[in-house]
Amino acid sequence: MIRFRSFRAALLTLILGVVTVAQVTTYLVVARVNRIEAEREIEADLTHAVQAFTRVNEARSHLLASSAKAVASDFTFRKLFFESADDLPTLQSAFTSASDRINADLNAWVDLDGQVIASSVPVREAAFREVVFRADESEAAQASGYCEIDGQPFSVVAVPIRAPVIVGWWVVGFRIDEAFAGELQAQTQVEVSFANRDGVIIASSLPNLPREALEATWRTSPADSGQIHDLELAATIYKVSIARAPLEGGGDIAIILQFSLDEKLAPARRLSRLILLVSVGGVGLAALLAAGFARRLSHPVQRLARHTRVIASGDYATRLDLRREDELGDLAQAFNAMSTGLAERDQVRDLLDKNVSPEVAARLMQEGSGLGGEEREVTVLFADLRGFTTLSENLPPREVVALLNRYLDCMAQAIEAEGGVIDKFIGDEVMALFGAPLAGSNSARRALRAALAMRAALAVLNAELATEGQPPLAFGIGINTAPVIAGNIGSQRRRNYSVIGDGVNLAARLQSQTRNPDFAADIIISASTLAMARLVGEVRTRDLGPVTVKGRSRETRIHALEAVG
Amino acid sequence: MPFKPHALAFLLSAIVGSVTAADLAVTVTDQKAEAVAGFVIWLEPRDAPVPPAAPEDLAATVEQIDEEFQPYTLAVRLGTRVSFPNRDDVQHHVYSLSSPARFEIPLHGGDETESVVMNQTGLVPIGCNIHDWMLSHLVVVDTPWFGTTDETGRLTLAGLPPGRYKLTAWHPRIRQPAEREITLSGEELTTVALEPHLRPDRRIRRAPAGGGSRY
Repeated sequence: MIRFRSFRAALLTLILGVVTVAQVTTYLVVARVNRIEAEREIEADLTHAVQAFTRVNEARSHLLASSAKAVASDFTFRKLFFESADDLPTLQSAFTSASDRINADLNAWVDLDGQVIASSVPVREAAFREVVFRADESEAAQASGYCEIDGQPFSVVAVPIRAPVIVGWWVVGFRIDEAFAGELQAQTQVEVSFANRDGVIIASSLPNLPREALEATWRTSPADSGQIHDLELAATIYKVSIARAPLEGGGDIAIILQFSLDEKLAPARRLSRLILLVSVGGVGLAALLAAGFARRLSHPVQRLARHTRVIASGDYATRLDLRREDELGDLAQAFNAMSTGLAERDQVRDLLDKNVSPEVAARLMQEGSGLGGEEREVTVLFADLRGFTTLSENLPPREVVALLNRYLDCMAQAIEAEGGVIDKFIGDEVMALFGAPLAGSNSARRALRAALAMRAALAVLNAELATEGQPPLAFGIGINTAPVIAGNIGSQRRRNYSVIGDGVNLAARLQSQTRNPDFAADIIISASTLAMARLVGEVRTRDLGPVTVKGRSRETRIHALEAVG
Repeated sequence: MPFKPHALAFLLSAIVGSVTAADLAVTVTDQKAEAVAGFVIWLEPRDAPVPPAAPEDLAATVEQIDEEFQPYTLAVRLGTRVSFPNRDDVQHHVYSLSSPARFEIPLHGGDETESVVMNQTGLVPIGCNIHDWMLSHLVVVDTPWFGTTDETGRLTLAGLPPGRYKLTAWHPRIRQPAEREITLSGEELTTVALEPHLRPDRRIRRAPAGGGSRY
C-alpha cells in the first residue's frame, strides 16, 4: 500500500483512480466491440457482394441472351443460316449485321459440333464448345460460363438458333472489366478486383496505390477462396474474400472482394473519440469534485487535530465550533465534552488535591460551597502498619516501596469500596474520611465495614507474602466520629481538602492504643462511632473500658471491633 | 398387253404374302420406364423391294389447332401431299427449313388449306414464324410399314410379309435414329421393346397469358 502524507491526497488519488479506471475500461471495451462489429459487418458485406456479383452477372447475361434469341428468331436470319450454311462469307457478313443489333462485347455463332462459324473477337475454333454442349444437354437449351480470350475474361451465355429445331448456337457475352468492377462497387460499396487465369489483375475498382499493392501480392500468393482474411495494401488493412469461377478450357478467374477496415471503422472511431472526450471531461470533473470533497473532509479534521493540541496544552476552556450535522460534527461535540470533563476533573483536583470518583466529583461541582471551610460530622479512620521497619531492613529499597504500595493499594481499595476518601498517606500510615466531602449514608457504619475489609485484605496479603517467603504484616486502626472543621487547607499554591479538630486527634490516639498489648485489638473505635453505627444495625464489639488519652481531660470509652451486621 | 414386271411382282408377293402375314408390336419406354408416345417407327424390307404406294396412301394432314400443330410427330410415305389446314382464328406462318422439304406458307388463315408434297426422305421439322412454340416433326419414309406409338407407348403393325427388315426408330428427343435388324415370321406376333434414353425436351415454353417473365 502506498502511504500518503495527506488524507486529501489519498482521497483525491482514490477517486481519480477509480474514475480513470472506469473510463479507460469503458473506452477499451467500446473500441473492441466496435472493431468486432465492424469486422462482422464487413464479413456480411463481402458475402452479399459475392451474391451481388452472381446476380448482376446473371441479369446482364439474361438481357443479352434475350436480345440474341430475339434477333435469332428473325426469319431472314433463319433462312440465311439454312441456305448459306456452306457459304461462309455470307454467313459471316450476316453475322456481323446480326451482332450489331445486340449491344454485346462478344458475339459468336457456333455450329452443332461446337465449332465457331463466326466471332466478333478472334477465338480458337473450339473456344465455346463446352458451353454449347452444356446448353445442348440442358432442359432450357441455354448455358452460361466464363471464357478467357487473350487474357481478358468474358461472361458468356449460349442460346439456341432454332429453325424451328436447334440448328446452331449463338454465344453472346460481356467483358469482365473495369466498368463491371466499378458497377459492382457502386452497388455494394465493396471494392472488386478480377484476376485472370494467369494471376494477373485485369480490372479493379481500387484506387491506384492499393491496386498496385494488390497486383504485387496477388502474383506471389493467390490465397484460397472461401475464407475471409486480412490483407494489408498500401498501409491500409482490407478484409478480403475470394470467389472463383471456372473458365471454359480449364483454370478459373478470381473475383476478389475487399473492404477497407479503416473505412468501416471510421464512424466507430468518431464515436470512440467522442467517448474519449467525455472520459477526459469526466475525469476532470471527478478531479474537481474529489478535490472539493477532500477539502471539505480534511479541513475540519485538521481543525480537530489543532484543537487536540490546544487541549493537550491544558486549555480546557476553548470550545471547537464545527457546525456540521455529520460524523465530524459528532466528533467535534465529543471533543468539547471531553474538554468539559477534563476541565471539571482538573477543577476537582485543584480543589481537593485528591482523586474522587466521577459521581463524587460531579456532586461536588454542584454543591461545592463548603470547600472554604465548614463544620461537619465526619468519621475519621487512621491505619498504621506494624513491623514495617523490620521488613525494610531486609529488603532493597525498590522492593520496599513496591511492597508498601501493594499494602496501601489493598487498604485504599477497601476504604474506597465503602465510599471513603483517602485524605493522605503519611509514610506507611493511611488517613481516611467517611462523610466528607459529601455526607453519604451512615458514615460510621461504613467506616467500620471498611476496617473489617481492611483486616480481611491484610490476611490475604499475608498469605501471599507467606508463599513468597516474607514475614507477615500487621496493622492497627483507630476510628472516631466527631464534628470537625473541614475545608481546603494549605497555602495558596498548595492546598488540599482535609479535616482538623479534636475528633481527628482522638482517632489518631485510638490508633496508637492498638499497640497496648492489654487490649489485644487491631481495630479500636470510639463510643460515638459505635453509637452512630448501632443506629442502623448490629455491631459486635469488646468493651475496652474508659481510657484517658493524651490531650483530653475527660475519659473516653473505647471498644475493639469484632464484627458488623 | 405390255408386261408389267412390277405388277407381276406385287401380285406374286401378294399371293405369297396372303398365305402368311406377320404382325409386329413395338413398345417404347424411356430411361424412367415410362411409356413414350409419338415415337416414329418404320420398317424397310431386306429381302424384297418395297411395294409401291397406293394413291390414297399419299395424303396426310398437319392441323393448326389452338396455336399448336397436331400431330407432334408423323410419318408419311415418300410422295405424300401434306396439307396444313388452319383451324384457328389467327393466321399462322408455317415453314420448314430442312433439306428434304424447304417451304413456307406465309400468313395463311381461316379455313385456307395449303399443301406441300414431300418428295424426299428425311426429317422435316415444321414451325410457325409467328408462334415460336409451334413445332411438328414429319418423317418422310419410303416404305408402307410405319407408324407412331400411342399413349401406351405401343405400335402394332399387321400384315407384314415375313422376312428380314431393318427397323428404324426416331423421336425428337434422341440424337440419332435407332436401327435394328429383325426377322418376322408369320407364326407368332413379334414384339420389339425399345428403351431409348430421352434427352431433355428443349421445346419453347408457350408464352403465358398476360406475358411478363421474371426480370
